[in-house]
Order: sequence, then C-alpha cells, then structure tokens
Amino acid sequence: MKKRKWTTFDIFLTLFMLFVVVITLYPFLNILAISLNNAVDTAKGGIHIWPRDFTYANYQEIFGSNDRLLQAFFMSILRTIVGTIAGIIASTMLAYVLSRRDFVFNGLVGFLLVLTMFISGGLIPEYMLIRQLGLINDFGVYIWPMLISAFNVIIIRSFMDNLPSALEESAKMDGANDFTIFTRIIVPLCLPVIATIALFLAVMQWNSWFDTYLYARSNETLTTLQFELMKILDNANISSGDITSQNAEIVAGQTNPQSIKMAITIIATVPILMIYPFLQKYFVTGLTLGAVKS
Amino acid sequence: MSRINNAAEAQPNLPESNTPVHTKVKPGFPMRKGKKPSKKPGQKGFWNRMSKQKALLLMSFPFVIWLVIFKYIPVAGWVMAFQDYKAQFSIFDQEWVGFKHFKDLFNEPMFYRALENTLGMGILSLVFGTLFAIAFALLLNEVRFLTLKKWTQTISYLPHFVSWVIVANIVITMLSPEGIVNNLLVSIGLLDSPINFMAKPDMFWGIVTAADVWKETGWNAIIYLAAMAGVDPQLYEAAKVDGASRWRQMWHITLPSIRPVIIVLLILNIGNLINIGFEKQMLLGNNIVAEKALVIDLYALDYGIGMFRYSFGTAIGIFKSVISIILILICNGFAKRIGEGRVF
Amino acid sequence: MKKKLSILSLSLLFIFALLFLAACSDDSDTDTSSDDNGETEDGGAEKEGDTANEEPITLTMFNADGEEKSFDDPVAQKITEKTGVHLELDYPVGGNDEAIPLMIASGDYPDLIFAKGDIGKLISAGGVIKLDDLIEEKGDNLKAMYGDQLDRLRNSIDDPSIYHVGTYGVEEARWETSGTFQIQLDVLRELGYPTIRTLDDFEAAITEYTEKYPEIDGQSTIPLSLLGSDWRWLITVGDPAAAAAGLAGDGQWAIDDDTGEATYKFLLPELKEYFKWLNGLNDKGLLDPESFTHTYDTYISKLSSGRVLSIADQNWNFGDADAALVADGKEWRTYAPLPVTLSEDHVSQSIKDYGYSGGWGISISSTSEHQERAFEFLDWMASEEAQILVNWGIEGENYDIEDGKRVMKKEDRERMNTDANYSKESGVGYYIYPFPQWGNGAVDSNGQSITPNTEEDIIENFNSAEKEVLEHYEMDNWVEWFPSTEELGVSNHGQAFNYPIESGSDLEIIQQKADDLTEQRITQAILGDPDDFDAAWDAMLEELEAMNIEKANQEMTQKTKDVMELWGTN
Repeated sequence: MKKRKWTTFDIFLTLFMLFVVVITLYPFLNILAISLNNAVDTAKGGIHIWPRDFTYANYQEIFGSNDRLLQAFFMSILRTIVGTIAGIIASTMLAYVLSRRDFVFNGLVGFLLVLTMFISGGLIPEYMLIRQLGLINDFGVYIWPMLISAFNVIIIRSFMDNLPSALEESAKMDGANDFTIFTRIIVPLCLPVIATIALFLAVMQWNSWFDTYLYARSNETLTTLQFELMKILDNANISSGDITSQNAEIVAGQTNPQSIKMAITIIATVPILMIYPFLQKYFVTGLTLGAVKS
Repeated sequence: MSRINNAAEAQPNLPESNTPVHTKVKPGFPMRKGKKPSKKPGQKGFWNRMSKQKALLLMSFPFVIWLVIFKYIPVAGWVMAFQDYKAQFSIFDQEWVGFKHFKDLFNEPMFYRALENTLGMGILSLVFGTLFAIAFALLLNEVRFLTLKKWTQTISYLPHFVSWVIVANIVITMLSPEGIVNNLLVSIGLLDSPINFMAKPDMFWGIVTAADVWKETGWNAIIYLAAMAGVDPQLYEAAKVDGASRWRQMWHITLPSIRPVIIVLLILNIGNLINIGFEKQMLLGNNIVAEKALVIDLYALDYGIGMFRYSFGTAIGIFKSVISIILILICNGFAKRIGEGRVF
Repeated sequence: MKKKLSILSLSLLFIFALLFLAACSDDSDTDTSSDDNGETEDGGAEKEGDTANEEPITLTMFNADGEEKSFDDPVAQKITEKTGVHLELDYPVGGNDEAIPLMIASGDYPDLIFAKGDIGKLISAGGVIKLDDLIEEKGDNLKAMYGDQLDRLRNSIDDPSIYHVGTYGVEEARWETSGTFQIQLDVLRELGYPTIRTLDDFEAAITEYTEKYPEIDGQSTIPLSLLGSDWRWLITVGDPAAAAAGLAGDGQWAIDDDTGEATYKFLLPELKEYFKWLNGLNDKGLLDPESFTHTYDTYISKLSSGRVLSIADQNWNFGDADAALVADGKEWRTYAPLPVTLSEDHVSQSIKDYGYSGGWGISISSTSEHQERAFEFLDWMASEEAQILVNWGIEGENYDIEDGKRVMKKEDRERMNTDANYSKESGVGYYIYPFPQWGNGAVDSNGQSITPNTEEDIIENFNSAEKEVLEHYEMDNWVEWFPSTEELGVSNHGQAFNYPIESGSDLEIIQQKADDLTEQRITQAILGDPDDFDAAWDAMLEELEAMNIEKANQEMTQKTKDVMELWGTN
C-alpha cells in the first residue's frame, strides 16, 4: 500500500462518486427536510433539501400519539438480532452442505431449496400453517417462517464454491470432521458474504410489519416499531378528513399524513442504517483470506 | 475484443498469451468448485459415502424438514386453482372445476398484455440493474480515497430504504412539464418546449427502469463488493509486479473472480423475471400509459385476490411458478453445460 | 435416479400436506375462544339469559374503518358503566383487505364485526347470526330508531333476514353539498357575482378571469385542474360527469328510480357530451395539461398556491389545500360549490336524500359466546340516552343544560374545532359511526337536535370571504343554490354502489374491466384532437359492447329491482 500519484482515472472516479452521492442522497434529504417542515407549508410544494418553515411538530405528533414506541423499538431490535443470527447460522450451514458436491443428497436438497423461491401457497394456507404450529402471538413467529431464504443460501454457497480448497484438504488430512472444517475454516473465510447476508436479513427483519399484524397483534408485548408506525400513519390519514375552513388556521400548526409519512420514514430508517458501518469493515479486499492463512 | 474474451475465461486459467498476469503463481490453489463427485457411484458406494457424511446429513436434515413444513406444506393450497374456492368450506368440500380458471386466464387478452409488459420491464431491469450494479461495484472498488469510498457506499444504498410511494412522487415531480428535468433540457437547448414525460406511453418502461436503477444500484452492488473482498490479494500483487494497469486488473482479476457470483445472481434473477411486483408500475403509472403499465401481479391483484377470486389468483400464481421454474432449469442447465457456476 | 427421487419425494410431500390440511380444517371450530381474554369464560354462555348487566364483559370488535384506539376515554367509560361492556377494538392495519377472508378461513371471529362490503361473505360463510328474532324480542330501541326503514336492513330477496345494524344516520338532513364543481370566490367577485348554472356559463367565467389575470402571484393561472392519475379519477373525472348530466350518486351506474332500470353510465350520450366539453377545454388550453399525470401531492400544492380557478372534487379530497389557503390568508382563493349541469334542462342532484341505505353495518358473529349481551349492547347504543351520550359527551363535563337545552361547553366547542384529537381523546363523537345512529336532522323526545352539528354551525364556520360572497347572492348557505332536497324527493333504491355484489360474479368482473377501460379511453379522448373525439368515443363503446356490458346492465337492473322489492319501494 504505497502512496501513488493520482491519475486522471482517480480524478474521474472521485468526481463520479461525488455525483453518485449527490443523486442518491437527494431523496433522503428531501424526506428529512419535509419531515422538519410545517405540514401546511409543505402542501404548497417546493421543499427540496432544506426546511422552509422549521418545526418538530411531525415528530412530536408521532412520539406523542403512542406510548408503546420505546417498547416496540426494543422488540424490533430483539427480533432483528435473534432473526439475523438464527438466519445466518441456518443459511451458512445449509450453504456449506450444498457447496459439498460430494454430498449424497446435494442435488435433491439444492433442488428443494431453489424451488421455494418460485412457489408460494398464498396467504391463507400460510396463515393456517402458522396457526396450526401454535406460533400465533408467539415470538417464534418472527424467527421460524423467515429462517431460510433460498436466495441467501445460494449466494453464500457460490461464494464458498470460489474458495481455495487447499485448506479444507489439509484439514481433512489431519482428520477433522465436516463440522469442524465448517466452523474452523469455511466460516472465517466467508466473513464478507456473511456480513452481506447479515445485512439483508437484518433489513428484512427490521422492516417487517405485516407478520406482526397477521400473527401477533393481540400480544402487546410483541409489537414492533414498524407496526406501531404503520398504525400512526393510519391514524394520520383518518384524522386529516376533519379539517374545515374554520379550524384551518389552527390546524396549520399541526401535521398532515404526507409529512407524518416522511417523519416515519426517517424514524424507521435511521436505526437500521446504523448497522452498516459495523459490517463495512468486512468488505475490505483480501482481509479475511490473509488473516486465515497466517 | 480480446479483453472481453479474457474476462469471460475462468479465473485460475487465464491464457498467458494475452495477459501479463502471472495467475499460475498459485498452482496448488484449485477452487473448491472444481471438485466433483466421482462419476456413477454404485449402490454400495452410495451407502458408503452416506455413512461417511453423517455430519453433513445432520447439518442439512433439520433444514430440509424446515423447508417441507414452511414452504411445501402451504403449497397444498394450489389445489384451490382447480376448485371454485369459497372460504366458508374446507378445502375438501369445494367444487372441482378442473382447468376452468386456467382457460379463463388464457382466454383473456388483458393477460397477454400484462405478460408482455412484465417480461419487457423485467428484462430491462435485469439487464440494466445488473450492468449498473457491477460497474458501480467495480469502480467503487477502485476508489483509493478510503473515506470517500466508505461514504459513497453508505450513501448509495440509501434510496433502497425509501418506499416506492415517495420515490414515485419524486420521479413524477422531476419529470413534470414544470420539473427540473424539463427546465434543464430546455435551458441547454435540447428541447424547444417541455415534454410531459409521464404522458408518453413509449417512455414508460424506460422511466420505470431508470427509477429502479437509481433506487437499487447501490444496494445490489453490496453483493458484488462482498465477492470482491474475497479475491486473493496476491493476484493483484502479482499483476502489479507485471505492471498491469488498473483497467487491466479490473478486467483480468476482479471481474473474473466475481464471475461465479454474477452468474448465480443472473440465473436467479432470470428465474424471477416474472416476479417483478406491481408497486412501482402502479405508483408511476396513470391512465394514459396504463396499457404499458399493466403487469401480471397487478392484474392478479385487481382481478384475482382483490375480487376474492382465490382460485383464479392461485391459477395465476401457478402459471408464474411454472414459468419461473422452466426459466431457471434452462439457465441452470446452460450454465452447467458451459461449465460456469450453477444454482443447484 | 435423481429425478425419480425428487418426483417421489414431491408426491410424498403433497400427500403429507393434504393430511395436514385435513387436520387443520377439522378442528378449526374447536378453539375459537383462545383469544377471548378469558375474563368471563366460566359458564358465561349458560347464564346469558338473565339481564347480567352488572357482570362486566369484554367484547372484541373488528372495525373495517377503524384506527388504533383503546376503549378508555370518558365516554367509553360511561358506556361500560351503563352496559357492562368493554370493547376491544381491532382494525385492518395498513388498509389490509385480507382480514375478513382470513377470519372466515380460520374461523376466528371477534364478537362484533363491522365488515362493510364484505358482509356478504360472512353471511354465506355462516360467520354472522340473524338478528330478526332478537330485534323482535328485545330490540325496542332499534325498532324505534329504524321504524319503517327496518326493511332496508334486510339482506336479499332470497334471504330477507337482517344480519347487521347501523352505519348510516337515520333522518339525515342535507346542509352541505358534496362532489360538485367548485369555483374560486375571487372569480365570482371579479366578475360581479354572475349566475353560473351551465357548463357554458362556467367556461365563460374561467375564460374571462384567465384573460384578465393570466398570472396569480407570479405563477401562470390554471383555469381548471383535475386529478385523474390514480383512483381519484372516479372522484374528479367520472363523478362530476354524472353530476353534470343530472344523475344521482350511484357510482358507475345511471339508475331510473321508478323502474329500477340500470345502465353503465359511460354508455350515455350525456356523459359523452360532458367529456367532449372537457376535450374542448383541453384544446383551448383551459384544462391543466398535468391533470392526468400529476400526483395528489402536486395537485394539492397547486390548489394551495391559489392559482387554480376551478376544480370538480369532493370536500374531503381537497381539505388540506383549503386549510393551507386559509392559513395563508388567501380566503378569496377558496372555493364555492356550483350547481352546474350540461344545460338548464338537467337538475343537479347534489343534495338529494337517498334515504337510509342499509347496506353496511355491525354484525354479531356466530361463534361469539356473548351474542345476547352483544345484541343488548347494540340496542342500547340506539337508545336516546346513548345517542345523546355519544354525540354530546357527558353532562356537566362536555355540555350543560341551559333553559332545558343542551349547550356544548365553550372549551369543548373550541377544542372540537381546533384539535384533531379531540374526539379521540374525549370520546365525544367517536362512537357514532359505524354504530346505529340518528342523522343530523333527528330530534329527541324534547324536540332538540340529537347531534350537535346544526346548520347554524356550518354557516358559522364559513370563512370571511365565503360569508361575503353568500351575502352578495343573498343566501345563508351554499345549498340554497341547489335544487332542494324536498324537490328532489327521496330515492327509492338508495345508492347503487352500496349494493353487495357477489365476489367473482360476472357483474363484478365486467364492471371492473369496463371501469379500467373507460378510465383509459376517456382520458385519451379528452387529451386527443377534438376532431378525433367522436371516433374515439365510438371505439370505446364498441369495446364495452365486446366485453358484454349489456349483461352487466341486466344484472344490475335485476339487483336494483330486487332491492326495491325488498324495501317495499317499488
């Protein structure tokens, strides 16, 4: 890693990346600005990346209207952590088995897995299943149905396919069994892809709300942040119908569904964005391979 | 041309003639995918191997059970497609109607329009989505200024978290006759007068694809970046010794290294061509472009589940599954034949 | 070998799955009480006969139009005190449509269900009980409320039982218009308060104003803007067309109130005439060119800027813009409703009385363990005592009796008008819909209005510009512009869009296809060249014919006739 001179390529890259930053940051800043702007003022349009009539009213409305948010927030974190860890263990293990072409049932298990990407029984049979398994109003309903995603398993497996086999061979020579090889050699080599899948799983867990509604809504302790935010949005939509000319002036200090939606997007997104920097370090080229070898 | 050909070659065996990269510095480094079971195991060999793979069996058995319970049992619901399902009766007391719902579906002109639009937008989004994500990942991987790299990567996937409702709103506002795009095009003289882009049926597929690329490129690039992180750094060291330019390193090392991931993702995405959802089309569409915006999932929603026609909706679902499975079998077979990656 | 194996295993799986489904359909009825909170489980069913009002119970209730709410405000507490019933409210979060089908599939019904249009599915699934006998035996309050309108609650000509009560007000008065053409107050003022009765008058007014003021606050004036890019096409394009043709509010149908003859409305020549007029406006540049592409947010922001001279919309759809205009001190940019029709020969039906249109309501589930208590509760909600409680709140807290009259407390009146959460927090006005309710024209045994919303309140709530314009036209309320409710008479058939249509029926499918088609074709015709309009319209009629619209007309006619027979209004 010696310092090299900046070439035109580097300058081009830097400019290009700055361009990417600008166009991808815009919608988010736009949402942030609207969420911090007076709702009635927003209705006039023209808010870009800076609030024109600054207010916290939209956030106050959200936090004031619901006293379960904190509890729901912790439940969301809990299901994200447990769901991600369980999902990672399951997907990596299954991926390893499938990466072993000498495994007797490789083709069958692989086929059974891939097929699940393209078939679905539909909502009613799934609901009946969950009900039959006794998972209604149970924390397990957040974990079990989402345990394995065929897509994730195949991504991990194709990463494993590309790993050098020398280490595995030599471990076998030393008499290590398949499970040991998996935990001692394969997993450490796969950290970049595991980090990626962890991100996918965490985002999926964090964003789910429909399963809470469908399977866990009568158990208040299982409520999640996304579900509570969804309910707040519903309420905002309903009460917006009450505006009359006479109260317009006072309502002006308040909110409307559009602005609430923006504030909710911010509240729901920022926590999950926080995990990315922790995973990013696994994406540095060559880091893991070198670490294992030495 | 030769570069492209090289890039298409398997990474460990790059032809020496065209490249200065000493890929053969690691002859004792075969990839795991090269290892295949010995051909045609006899019945005895099968049991033999199985008894040696107890750990593998134990590691996969619970998940096979899981797949059966959570994924295959609900598929029993497919029998609905051959019934006139009414929720009040159990699934055994329904009236059986054979292929009636499939016939209805295949006799419906709207269905063919929806199929055409679905595949059209699916292919566009597959091609451009993949190209942009790979190109972005490759370029980002080359950024040397580490802070910029980290920030760009973090910011580039932000739009993934913004719901389509909001993205559609931003897109429509930007493309309106008074929007920023028209202002820009008129002011630099490319247009004489503003165009109402959203009222042009021929542009609709393009607009949807562009919005999709904008929203998902950063997110899709994450997988490729992770794959790049697995590339053996010694390959780059060797290339540097040989004085290969960074372009050449990208073409001859990075790209071939992530090729298995690219191919697997391509196969999976081709299998999913027909499952493009309907949200973006519904939110970006309007009555002027409706004929270009109708997709299968929207049709299924409006004319199936939305009318509580569960049987009809299930028939559409089965049709989609069959198409997906055929597509993925073809692609997987093809990839296997040319010796590139596989999905199962 | 591999192939054989997978086929074998798949078929095994399938058998396994079928067995499994058999298992779950078997005992779906046995464990319905599992989420009943277990408060009154012990033998409640046996003791139900006696009036156990003292014994408090919890009833679960699904409200298709509900929101997140716990039953603990002062009015709710009063209801519990009087009836011993505590409600646990549930609703479809995020606008989920599958709640009712899932209820049916799983057999997990709440005690009370407000299912709106899905009631038919619950009836055929046996999920709700007949209320006829209960009403006969102990439904005195309900009988008093519905009187001779009770027939309108009946299900169908083949099954004339009553499965639900409630939702709409009985004896509704019409003090506000809805879904009419609306014109900026400033246009009326500038043009010297003209009479605007026909589309031509309307066009002349916006043309003249636009010529006079091509810009408003530095932005170009928009003479007419619609919102035809999403489902609101029906609100701002489809419905105004019917209104201009003098049709009553029957959704996509034009119905002859005497014969019950139903026609898909876009087949009518009057509708063509209206859209041809819109096509002309577009050609003359009077119609906002973005009318069919802009989003709701953009539409509202245009209206809020004050540069849109006229719209054709429902009040609830543009309420946000109205609020923004008043907050900005632009009262003169708010809108007045107009009784505009194609010509003087057509009569605006905006304030027509459709009578009590039974259609939707609250049902009692067949699996409820407290069916009698649930019914007693619904009946009590229809009593005068309950209606005054839910409308006015608690005496001494929300209102006082002055000179024998109910007067809302000043703080409450103020909060009601300014605080969007008032109703939710205090409970005042919260439990009116979808329960059985008196309309705003009904009076109690002392001759006082049962609801606190009187015409005086509406008039008082007009903004200053509205009041000034009304004064110039020598009116108190906009409704005076419209043909009066008495003049229009009470509808014999209610409103066609309320009729339950069997899901997956030919009628439903044809109507959906026709709606999809007309939205597209009419939009294209409006935006097209005026010379092509007739051809485009004829092509659309041909397409409608090809999808067998005639069959839909016949089925709808039959439906209307059945309804009129059931209601005894034929």
